[in-house]
Amino acid sequence: MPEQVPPTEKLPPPGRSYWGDAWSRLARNRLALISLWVLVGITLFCVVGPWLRGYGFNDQDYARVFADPSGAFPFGTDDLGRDQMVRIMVGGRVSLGIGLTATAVTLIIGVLYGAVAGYAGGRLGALMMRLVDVLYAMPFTIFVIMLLTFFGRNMWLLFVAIGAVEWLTMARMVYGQVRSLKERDFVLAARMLGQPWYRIVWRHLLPNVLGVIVVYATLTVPSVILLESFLSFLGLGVQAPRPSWGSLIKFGADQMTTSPHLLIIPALFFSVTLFCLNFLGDGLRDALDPQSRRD
Amino acid sequence: MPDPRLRIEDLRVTFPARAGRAPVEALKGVSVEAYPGEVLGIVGESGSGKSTLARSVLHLQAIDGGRIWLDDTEWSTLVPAALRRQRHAVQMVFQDPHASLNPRLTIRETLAEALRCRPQRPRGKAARQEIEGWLDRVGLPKDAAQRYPHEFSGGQRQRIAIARALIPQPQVVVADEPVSALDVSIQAQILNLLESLRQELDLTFVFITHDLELVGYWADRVAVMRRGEVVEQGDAEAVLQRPQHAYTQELLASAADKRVRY
Repeated sequence: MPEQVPPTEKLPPPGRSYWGDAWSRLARNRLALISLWVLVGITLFCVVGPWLRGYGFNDQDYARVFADPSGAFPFGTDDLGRDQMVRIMVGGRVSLGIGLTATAVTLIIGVLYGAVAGYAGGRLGALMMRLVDVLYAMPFTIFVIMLLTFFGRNMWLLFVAIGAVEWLTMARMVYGQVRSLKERDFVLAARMLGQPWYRIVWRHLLPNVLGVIVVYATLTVPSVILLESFLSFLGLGVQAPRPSWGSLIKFGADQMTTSPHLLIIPALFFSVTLFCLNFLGDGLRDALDPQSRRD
Repeated sequence: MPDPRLRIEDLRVTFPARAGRAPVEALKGVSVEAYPGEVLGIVGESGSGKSTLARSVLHLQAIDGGRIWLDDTEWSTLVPAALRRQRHAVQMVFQDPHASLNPRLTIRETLAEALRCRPQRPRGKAARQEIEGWLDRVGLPKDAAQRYPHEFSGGQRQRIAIARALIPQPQVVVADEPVSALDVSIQAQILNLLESLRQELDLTFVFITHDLELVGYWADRVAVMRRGEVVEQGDAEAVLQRPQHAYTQELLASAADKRVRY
């Protein structure tokens, strides 16, 4: 065979990176983009609003109880004459805050646990996932009620309780993804090069499940907010007088016949947020999911 | 004849039984040798245990019996610490260039990982130059380094995979069907590249393929595998011209058959 210098290959102009590519796909999805901006708007409204609004969330005034929406009180007032607008803002801080914090807890525990179990595989991996199955079988509501009765009502406990339930699904999903990924040739190649296991997990496995993780996280936020509302609705959530969207809706439901705006406006904020998060999650799935794109 | 560089003795691998299925004996006592500087071809149909053999040599597959020697080292029983020091000595080129490169890493990052595998690893500017030098050697421009795998064709990716396998400065390279996922027109280019690198670096190749024509083209000696056993081995020319075993004759006949039909 003649010795031959390989011809130098020509390359097309540089393409975009994975994230740049995903971003352009997301930008083309109008519904997801609108949702993103609406969410940014609601977040700003809730975070900045209370400072600009002249009232505190617990400033009572018996001269103006159950006021209908008007110029001074765009969202009306409640049974103690408190400004409903600032209560929705502060409630939004709580709901969105819980959504983000509990999702972060879910992400950290679920992703690490799932990735380690998936990479370890074999008996250890199976054992770790059976533990998840056992926890799954625990009835959530009773678990939370017990937790809150024994330790008292406390916002941090609420985060823990919700995070403790939601990470299970995340762990399962990451476990499944990592298990199939670790048989791929590029992971074998990394092992062939003697890369330690934590580097393989960190550089080769996690970046390749990141798309799925991001999508799932966006879908976890609304389910966490929903859980908090559900607990507040049962009276187990955030402590009065501090509002959350769930407790505002519960209160509004009681006054539905006399002051419908107390139900409609917080419910509107709540559902729009949930819709937007779901649309954004869907859009991210289309933009990031490796299955929908070969390379 | 000199001592073999890679010696595999009575290698056995059994995959444990899974729900409702009997255990599979993937390798039932395989013995082959590769001498320094030669290309040992391993031929067989899919399922004959070729790839399991490759993975065992790379320590990617636990073995159930037998030994693997690299020169005077008992390769298959190295403890983790010793293996880490010597891992660079045996490297592999995978079959599917679309699956063998991490889609989230740039080519530079992938090749830098290979550089870490060397006993004395260059850093900083030296590392940079080394990576660019290797890209040039496998026929890719320097600016390939900051790109991602999806920007390359199958043949180009296989060139990157070859650079990754050779950067650690191995003595033995296992090439598991290195060209069978590529267009016929690209296959020759990649084989020529491997051959020129073999001559330049005095490498020993284990060339795994199901394609008898490619074996005839490149291999010095051949082992024919069937259902986890080596049924025949010897000089490539002898085995391909005057096959002794019925199975080899069958393989050759079906290959000839295909050629007629083209």
